[in-house]
Amino acid sequence: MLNRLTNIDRRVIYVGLLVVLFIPLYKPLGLPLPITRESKACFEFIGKLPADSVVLMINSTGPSVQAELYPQTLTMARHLMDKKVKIVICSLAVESPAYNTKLFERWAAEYKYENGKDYVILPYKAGGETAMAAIGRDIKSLYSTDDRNVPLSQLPLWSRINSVKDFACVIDISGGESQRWMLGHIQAPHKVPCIAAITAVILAVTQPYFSSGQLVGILSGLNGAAEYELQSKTPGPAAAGMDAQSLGHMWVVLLVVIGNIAYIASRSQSKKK
Amino acid sequence: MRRNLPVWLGFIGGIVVTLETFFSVKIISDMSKAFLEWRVVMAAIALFLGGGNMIRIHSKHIQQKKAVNSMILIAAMLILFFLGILDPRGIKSPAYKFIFDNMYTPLGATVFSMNAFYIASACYRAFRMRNGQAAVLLFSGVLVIMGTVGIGAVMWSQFPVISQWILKVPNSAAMRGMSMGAALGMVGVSLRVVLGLERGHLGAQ
Repeated sequence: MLNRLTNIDRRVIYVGLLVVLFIPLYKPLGLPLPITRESKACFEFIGKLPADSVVLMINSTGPSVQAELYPQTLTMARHLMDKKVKIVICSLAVESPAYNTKLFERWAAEYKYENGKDYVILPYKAGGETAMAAIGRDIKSLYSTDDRNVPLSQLPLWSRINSVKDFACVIDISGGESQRWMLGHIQAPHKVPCIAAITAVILAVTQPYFSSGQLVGILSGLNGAAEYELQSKTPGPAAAGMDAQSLGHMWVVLLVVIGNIAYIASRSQSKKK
Repeated sequence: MRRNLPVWLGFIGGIVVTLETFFSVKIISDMSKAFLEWRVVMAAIALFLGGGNMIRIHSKHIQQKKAVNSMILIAAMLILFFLGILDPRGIKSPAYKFIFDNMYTPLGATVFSMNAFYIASACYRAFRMRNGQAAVLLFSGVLVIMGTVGIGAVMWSQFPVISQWILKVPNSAAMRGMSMGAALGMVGVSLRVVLGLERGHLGAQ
């Protein structure tokens, strides 16, 4: 019996996980969600931005991380549009432009946001950290047209931007390490408030920058997006998926506990022998 | 010349960009800005070269008649490439959007989602209290999970508090130490590259 519990077949683990993920999707449980201080700070900071200020969103979403990052982008962008804050969005990942377009295709009409006047979508720039450094150094000369190939000089919103210092806040959305590039090339030299929207797996790496005050807020994973949705009272895809994620985590914890009880018991048995 | 020129270019680029960080001199700022812009352009060229290299490698596989996957990869690459180039709407063309939304996105999301199953299995097998250090890792991991998910807060209201403390205090302390160590290492490696002592990136032995 102990041997079976220390070596549960992986197919049992997979099927168990599938079942616990499906139950809340079929019948939502409505579990409470604790609001972390990182997402609270993020929500409060964006909530205090004055109408008509301009925010830069640096998006590195791709299909592999869209389940976590796109709900974050969506809920923050809706909050910004609700506050009448102007948005400039750019891409450091080659797949991200499609998400930027989708975001405004879906919400611009509802919030009466006009391309070029209330928001600008900048095209993808290769180079990773170098592109981020170029944004920090001289964003104006880095981009000459928007994603439709319209010269930026013709866009009223762009005429308000001379350097990265003109943004009220910079939000980096990424599952990689670009939030550290943002801190190095934008926050440190220009003292522009920065927010990181990240995948949950890199929270441990990013969290120290929030404790030190270099980041004004963090949204971490689907949790972060759901917490933001709850705070802004606009339930969306993240909040809907949280019950499933909650039970999925519980399944992992249960497996770890079972495995350890069986492991300790089998070890004490073998010592007695 | 073939070995020295890249070393000299690296030296000049490294020195100019470093000086620009500390001194506000117009000529140095302009040079530094130009270097950064060139780097962005070079990265775009590197993407193109990467695509070309993939076609070269997978063409060899096809010639050896052993790769259906290579044929699919090259066909997909070329279709997306020409859709992006030939249609003036670029990534907004309906065909490109169809492929992105209905093929690329589901495939990418599926591959990443499978991690959930592997992680569940890996956690079960790896998280065993074999010694004191493993026990600390196990307990802190479980506490952070329980504090993050809603069901944990329902079971005990202190789970989120403990989870936040672990992230804020021990995690921050450890990550800061590691980050600063890594940053010092980067400074050392960068100095070696700038001074031409490190030539591995040039293909030298």
